[in-house]
Amino acid sequence: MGDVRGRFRDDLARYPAPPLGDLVQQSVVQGRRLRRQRRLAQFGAGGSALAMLLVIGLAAGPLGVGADDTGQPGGLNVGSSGGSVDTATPSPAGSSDGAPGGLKSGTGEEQRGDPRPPVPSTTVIDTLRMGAGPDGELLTTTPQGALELLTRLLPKGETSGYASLHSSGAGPGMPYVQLYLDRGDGPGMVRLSIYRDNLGGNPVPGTVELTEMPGNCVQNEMVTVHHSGGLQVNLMISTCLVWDPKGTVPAPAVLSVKEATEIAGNPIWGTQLPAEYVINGAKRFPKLARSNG
Amino acid sequence: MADEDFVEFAQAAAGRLRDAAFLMCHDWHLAQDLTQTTLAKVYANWRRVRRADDPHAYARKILLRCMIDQQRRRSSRELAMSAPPERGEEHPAELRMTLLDAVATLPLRDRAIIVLRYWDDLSVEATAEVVGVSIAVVKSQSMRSLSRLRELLGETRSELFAEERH
Repeated sequence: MGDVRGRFRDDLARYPAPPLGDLVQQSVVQGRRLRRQRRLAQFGAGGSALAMLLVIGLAAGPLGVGADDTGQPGGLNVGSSGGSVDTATPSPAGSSDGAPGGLKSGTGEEQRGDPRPPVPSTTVIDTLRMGAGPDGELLTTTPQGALELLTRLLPKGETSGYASLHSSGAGPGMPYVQLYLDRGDGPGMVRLSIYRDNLGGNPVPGTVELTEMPGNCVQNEMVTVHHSGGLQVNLMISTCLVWDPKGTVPAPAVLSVKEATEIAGNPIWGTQLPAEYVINGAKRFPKLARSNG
Repeated sequence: MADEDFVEFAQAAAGRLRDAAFLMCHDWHLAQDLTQTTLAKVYANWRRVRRADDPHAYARKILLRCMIDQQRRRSSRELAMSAPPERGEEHPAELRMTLLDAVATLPLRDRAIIVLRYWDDLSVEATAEVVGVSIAVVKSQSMRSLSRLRELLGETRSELFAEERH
């Protein structure tokens, strides 16, 4: 049977395809929505810059003081453990008020009037001004290095359950890691992945997306911050510690969307990290558990 | 006008894309969703895509990225698979693995290489472009994957998957 194609054809014949239906029309509708979101993201970036200029102008213009007091207006401080979230862009997903797990309204426009059962929905919720990447000696990002940086960026609490997860499609320096964080209400799970989409046409760097996945307690909410070069940092806020289709092992969501945005938007993230993180991570997590998820 | 161009393109490409998606994911519903998402992304970039030399190649590339994204999102829900049966001949003929079953055991990138080369009939160069790897990787992974498939399917005839187009 050297004919692989013929064998594929035989297999396809065993599983008849359903009709295409209105797939093309639906793709046009979905494509228009994507265009709208992209325009919104681009407008948000421009609007944020304009708002920032206005603020600086008001502070420094009439009074001639205040410019020094503002430090680095807007944007993320290089090397800081968080960075300010630019709130000049309206957030269609509701307020990110800092309450862990507080953003549950799920009022993404994709869900309005959509009769289909709950499916993952992604909404652009904010736009950050991205700071410059790290300087100095850099090493390829390892899972251990990513955990080292993540644990430094997380809010105060006890961490445990460190693991490196299988991640197909990711290239060198793009780890997928998890840990548990206990902020006093019991441990909750957080996962982080670094990923690059090489297709082009990505949202502008700084675009923040919130993906809500009803029924998936592991990736209940996922904050994606788009960095430069098509790199995405995904931070997943879980409501369980392990995947259980019955959802019988609930755990608190230990990060708010705002906190996750600040962490994922830190400009240190990349396929390379400052050597310090990689080296310290290797020492701190010498035997990292591996998981298929 | 642009919409008409796109619809014409999409109607021509949808079935082929969906078949390729199915061969990679073995799930028609998922293949349908991925195809729709792919075409939506093509639509969103249509002005640029229509000027490209080969819009179909661009669409394939997007499809593969959509599959990778989907797998990443789903991975945490997946339970660790037990190891696949090592040799097909351990099973009765009626339970023997199909090629689809065997392909499903490959990593997604290797699955894509096999489907693009042997179903979509792309050249090594075109496959490398879509998958985003070097020509050498496509060649070596094709060989390894075919060897693996041969092993899983328990085929004994030496000519099975022996072809290696360049």
